[in-house]
Amino acid sequence: MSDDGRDPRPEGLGRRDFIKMGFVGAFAILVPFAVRAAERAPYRREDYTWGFIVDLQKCMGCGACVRACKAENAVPDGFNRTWVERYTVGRDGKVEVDSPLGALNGFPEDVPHPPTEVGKSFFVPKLCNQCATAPCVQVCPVGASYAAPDGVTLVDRKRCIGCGYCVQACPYGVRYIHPQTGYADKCTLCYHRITKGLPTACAQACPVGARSAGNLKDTTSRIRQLLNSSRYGVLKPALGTNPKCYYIGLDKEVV
Amino acid sequence: MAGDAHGPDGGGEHRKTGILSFPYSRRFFALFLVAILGGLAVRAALRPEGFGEIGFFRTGALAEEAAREPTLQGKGVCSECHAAEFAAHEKDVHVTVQCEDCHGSGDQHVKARKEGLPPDQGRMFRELAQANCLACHRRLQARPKLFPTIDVAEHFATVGVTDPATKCQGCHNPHEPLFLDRKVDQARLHPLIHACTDCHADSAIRLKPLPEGHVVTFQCKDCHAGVLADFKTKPHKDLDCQMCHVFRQDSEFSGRILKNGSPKFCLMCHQKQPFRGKGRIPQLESFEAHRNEMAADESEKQNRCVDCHGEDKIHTMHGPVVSSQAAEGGAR
Repeated sequence: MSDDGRDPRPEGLGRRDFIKMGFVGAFAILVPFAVRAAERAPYRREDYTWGFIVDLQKCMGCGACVRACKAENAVPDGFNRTWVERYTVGRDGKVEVDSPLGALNGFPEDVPHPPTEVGKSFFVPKLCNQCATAPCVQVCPVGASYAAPDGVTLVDRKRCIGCGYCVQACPYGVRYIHPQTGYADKCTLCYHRITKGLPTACAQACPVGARSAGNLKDTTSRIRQLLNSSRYGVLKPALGTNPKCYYIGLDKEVV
Repeated sequence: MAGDAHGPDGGGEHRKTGILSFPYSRRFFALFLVAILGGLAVRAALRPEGFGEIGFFRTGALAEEAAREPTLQGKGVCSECHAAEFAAHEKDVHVTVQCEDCHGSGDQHVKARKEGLPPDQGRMFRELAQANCLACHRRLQARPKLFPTIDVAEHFATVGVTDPATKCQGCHNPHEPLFLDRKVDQARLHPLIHACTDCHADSAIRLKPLPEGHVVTFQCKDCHAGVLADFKTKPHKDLDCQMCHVFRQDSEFSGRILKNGSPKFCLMCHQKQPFRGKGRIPQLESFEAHRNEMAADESEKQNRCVDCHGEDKIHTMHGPVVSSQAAEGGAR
């Protein structure tokens, strides 16, 4: 205390500074928690419309996506939720398509008997096209196949009676009846992963970044950027299924 | 009175004028009501909880689908324990390949480690046969041209491997397959397609037809003819430029050249190995011993292979990189 009864200005830290520092410090401590809380923000399906994009110019047919999908989703032997096809187009326009075991072990050799002299050849990964107007959903008699509000077509295993209408209705052949359980099964776009903020199993496994799922509602998402910057196509557009699986560099021959 | 015809005590008959006054219609409507209520009861019993709330499906199915735990862990999880392998992996060309692409799904392994179970309960698939590497690197017509692919027999002949069962990792460490020497290099942008104006000052030239014999797609020899002519006189003459100058395409117009100066890279062929035949390719027992033996002073003990053998065994390292002919016009 000084003589006039007031606090002298302390040498180092004033009370005001101390309080200010306290606030700043508290804020600084809280920031990481706030960031982490934002990261862990629960998934709001209103904010999402899921789509999928495949860059055919990058795909080199290793089959890592097929193996990852099998491991992630316990897909039974002989069935595939995703597979890779190889198109071999001869110089005279004849087309041969092959996919040994769905490319589970990649492609062990060149097309053994190409139709003619090979003009071009490329790989096309296939998976559920996540149609906006999905025929499989329309035909399901029990409401087991459904389009989730966030744009993913899913199967409710508790409702499915295994009638197989959806398997027949799908023009892309992505569905099968699970041999052990008897219900319809298909690519879920790794719903259990994308809703947790993880990439789909196939996208994570792809060594060349040729495929990924993304949010079509978010204009800054990678899928939106790719759709805005590249020329792409969808499979069988004439059927009016409005697929949300887009292919960059799609060839006319691909069906 | 209107009811004269029915008499004063014909109240019952009077009621018959309403539709419900007929006994049979009363029974009919009762049955109808029972059918509706019964139907509602059956519907309530059979209709699953939450059905139809946000669409023609069971709302709970969404949460059930989302609740599954991921099986594939991702390299972030692997790096928590395997830091050394992860560090090597992160700096070489396999950086985009996930651990689980080669090692198989890690969920049981991670679970076993976290719960302290015996190691064999979390054993991962680890057999790295040729087929694993060839899933990506086998030469196929359908593969993109710039992706590094090999024909095994051809590759073994080039690098002097005599045992056909040799595994790729005999020479290539899968975590660090090319041993890119980041310190001395190297990675720099390299145009993939030349614009006409790269060589020609007159920008209107692109509207003219290409002269007879003009290169359409440029290859190494079109610009680096001087270096290549020298290279062809040296012992490595049968190799492709891409063997050491790794090219990576970044976009439609540019790529990246990674010049490989790491001694480990040279040793992939020149390290003495039991599976490699004697004679054709000079082989070293130990690179360090050789370097220390040859070093004149302390500073030379840091030398790379190319510091001593570059000029006489590979190609000129000091001449003009781009041939004057190419710089003048690119026309051939």
